[in-house]
Amino acid sequence: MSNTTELLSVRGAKKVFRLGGLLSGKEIIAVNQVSFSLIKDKPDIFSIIGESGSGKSTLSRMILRLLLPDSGFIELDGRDVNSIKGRKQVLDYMRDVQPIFQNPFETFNPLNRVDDFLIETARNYFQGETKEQTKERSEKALNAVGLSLSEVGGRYPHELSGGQLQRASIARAIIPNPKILVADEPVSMVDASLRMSIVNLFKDLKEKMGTSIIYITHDLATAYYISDRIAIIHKGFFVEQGDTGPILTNPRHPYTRLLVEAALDPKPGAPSLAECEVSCGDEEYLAKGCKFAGRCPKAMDKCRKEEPPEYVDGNWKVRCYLYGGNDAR
Amino acid sequence: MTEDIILRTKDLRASYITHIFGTDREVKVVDGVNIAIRKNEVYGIAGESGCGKTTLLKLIAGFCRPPLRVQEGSVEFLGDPEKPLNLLSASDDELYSIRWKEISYIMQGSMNVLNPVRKIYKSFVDFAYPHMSDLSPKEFRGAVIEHIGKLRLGKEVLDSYPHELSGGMRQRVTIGLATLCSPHVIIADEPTTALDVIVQRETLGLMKRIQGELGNTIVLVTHDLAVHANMADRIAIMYAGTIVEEGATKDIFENPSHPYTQHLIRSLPRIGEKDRKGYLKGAPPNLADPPSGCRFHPRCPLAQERCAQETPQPKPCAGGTRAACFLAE
Amino acid sequence: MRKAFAGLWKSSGSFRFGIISVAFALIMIIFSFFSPYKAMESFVVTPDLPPSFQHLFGTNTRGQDLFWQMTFALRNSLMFGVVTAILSRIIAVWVGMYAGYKGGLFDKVAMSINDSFVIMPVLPILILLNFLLRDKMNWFYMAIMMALLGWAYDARVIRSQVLSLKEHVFSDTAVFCGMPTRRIIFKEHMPYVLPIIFSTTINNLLWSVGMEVTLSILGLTNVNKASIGVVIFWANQHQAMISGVWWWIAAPVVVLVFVFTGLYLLSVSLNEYIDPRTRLRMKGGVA
Repeated sequence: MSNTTELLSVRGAKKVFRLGGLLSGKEIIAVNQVSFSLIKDKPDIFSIIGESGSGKSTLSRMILRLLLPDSGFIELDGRDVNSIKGRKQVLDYMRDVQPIFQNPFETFNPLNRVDDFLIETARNYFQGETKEQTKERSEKALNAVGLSLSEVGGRYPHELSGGQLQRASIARAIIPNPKILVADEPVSMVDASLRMSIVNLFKDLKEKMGTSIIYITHDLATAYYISDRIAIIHKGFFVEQGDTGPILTNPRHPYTRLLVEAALDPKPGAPSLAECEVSCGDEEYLAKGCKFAGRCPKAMDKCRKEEPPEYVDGNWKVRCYLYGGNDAR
Repeated sequence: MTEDIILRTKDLRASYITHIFGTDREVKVVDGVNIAIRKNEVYGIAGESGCGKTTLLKLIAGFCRPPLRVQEGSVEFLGDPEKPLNLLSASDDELYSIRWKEISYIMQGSMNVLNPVRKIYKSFVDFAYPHMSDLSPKEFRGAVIEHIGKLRLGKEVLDSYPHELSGGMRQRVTIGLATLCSPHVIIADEPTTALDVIVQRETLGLMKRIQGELGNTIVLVTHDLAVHANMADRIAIMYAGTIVEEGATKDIFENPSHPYTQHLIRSLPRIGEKDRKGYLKGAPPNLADPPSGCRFHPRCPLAQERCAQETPQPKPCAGGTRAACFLAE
Repeated sequence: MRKAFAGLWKSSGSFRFGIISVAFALIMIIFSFFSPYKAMESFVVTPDLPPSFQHLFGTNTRGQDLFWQMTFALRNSLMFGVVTAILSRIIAVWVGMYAGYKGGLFDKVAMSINDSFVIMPVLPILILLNFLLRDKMNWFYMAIMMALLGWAYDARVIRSQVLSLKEHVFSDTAVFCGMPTRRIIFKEHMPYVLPIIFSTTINNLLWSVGMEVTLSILGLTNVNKASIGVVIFWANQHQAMISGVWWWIAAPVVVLVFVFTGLYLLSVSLNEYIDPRTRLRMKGGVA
């Protein structure tokens, strides 16, 4: 369908929400000038780190095509999300991009059996197959995540644990052999003892099935563990982007540094918890210039006047005046 | 040493018993818990969802309403060492006199506990003034302003509605409410679970500072071991309604004796570590139909025949902790 | 099924009363097919006899046995109510669920039409129509008219439930399973909407029977076909209360109140039972 090398291309994506009434509304730019890409035939785990209210969920919904961008481009394998019309094209799009939601108990309908969604998926993406073949597909997907129809079939969501259910949700998502999985906080609601098994599963999916994963989280430790590339999102902007290792061990952007320092180290006897400044609601969204300037220990005058451009250094992109002097984007 | 103890449970056993349309269910949510909480310490209770820790906390605070029923045991409050008070059998008047002044409670998701249609100051008046009624309204307001100043909240917060404040500020307000009367014991149920990394750091630092200043006890319940590592002096690990291990934080992290604890500690991800982590098979048991003997034996990699037949009791172990495991003794 | 019935019977007084009342109604309806007298024949028995073993509800001034009259009356009234309820359910469910799910222009148009129907004053319209079309009016046409007047409010209720269901994450999952809209509505959302449909059905039934009774008492329906309202109409025509034939009024009123209360209590108890949250609580989940 296309001759591009990019599997997913997001360029300058922007989404604006209007709050309030006719006369006194304010505009919040939830996603602002976001650009990144995933390369074809080179499966990647790309983490997006952000606090709540940073726009990460909005961005994930835009990639899933549950929301359309107000400006900018989102292209999947050359197909622009805005140009997709009609059921067949929508189905083709969803075949390649599947979601994994945060709360497995909300992902499934509490009143229907868990395998219902799996059978539906198999049936809708592979039409004209027999019942046996459809069941086969579901069984194979479940096996790939370490479950089976005998464990999960006929059960209701609340009869399974959070970990099992989230795996079932992943099984459902991989049935159409998608090229990209968009996972929004997939392990934050799963118990600690089961969490690593799911995170390992993502690693397996990338290595054995060549699926790229967009892993959205606020947990830096798991992001470090599985992702190859990482982007930090703050109030709608990607403030830093690049290879995971260097960024998390040696962050350049002051916000990234703040996040890395704030992450709790599970080691007793750590230095006493210092108290740091916290952002207050929507005001930061409406500030002029760099949205982090209010809290930044290194803020300069020009930071408060205009949003900094993205500076590029090989794979590393930082949106901060401190690093000006490299090629501006 | 016993003068040091402020709260003690003895063989506590409680279940949720429901009769709905002819179906009877009994969920044995707390099954034989013996803990002694000391003055001037942070006591952490760790465990996964469904292990009973929230219920245990409710019982410790003296909340016991149907369908929760206590079948055996007591919870003694030793605010006055001469007169231990069994919170489960105390009269409403006795409970009223110690609530908020001696024992206060920060509930799960407590940021949403503030009444959305009342200004913050009114919530203070509603919750705390009845226990400080010897102060005039003006003196009370002054005390509140001074108190929230210690939490770095300005007095304009008092005239705001909850939705006008950010999540972190609301959490600080709830901490302020719980600490205003300088209680001996603060019980906190997942106080930072829904908060972002930076806000969590801030809130925990705040709680630790207040504990240091007031010299009181915090009973902290959360599934996040990283929080315990940084906050708790002693930790109790709970699994399926029983305490499987208990000890000083350092000992739990460095020399865990119970297989479950060992697994939990081993599987904690840290920034900077990329080697593959193991995981436990199976899922936490259904408490309406728990396994016989040691409740962990179906998932335990070291389980023996004895484990399915007898229930181990907590005994001191080599690492310095007390663990309920036949193999650790 | 049996277990559900047994559980409900044991624990809910409303359910017990409701079942008894429904059983009573069914028995009466069955009896109506075995009546020794034709429905509207008059002067077949001695008139004005008070209730006795021979004539359970007594007889009226027109020489009819009231017991057998009530069997016909109950059958006709309930059948009328059931037909109205079913017809109006079909309209309400389709409009409500599609408008709720589709949203946009379809929803706006549907709700404007809906609101026009909601504000229509039902009784005056019915009186007018019956007055104008008296000769051509029969039960079935009246049922259709009642259905057309009675769907609007419930459609809105169903729509609001669907609107909230759309926000649930599993609705998004359903889209990504590739499910077409119609299937999502009827497979994923329907179990939540069912309790509402059920309780509004009984409400609608009671409402339409009540309307029919009202109209019949006023003499605006076909008074030659037995129904509860018609019986009361004739009782009034013959000034039953004044002439002391109190059982002529009492029989239809008591039967009506008994069956109505029973149906209502049945719907309340069943409603709590089929509510998905109750079912989940019984199994140990949380909705």
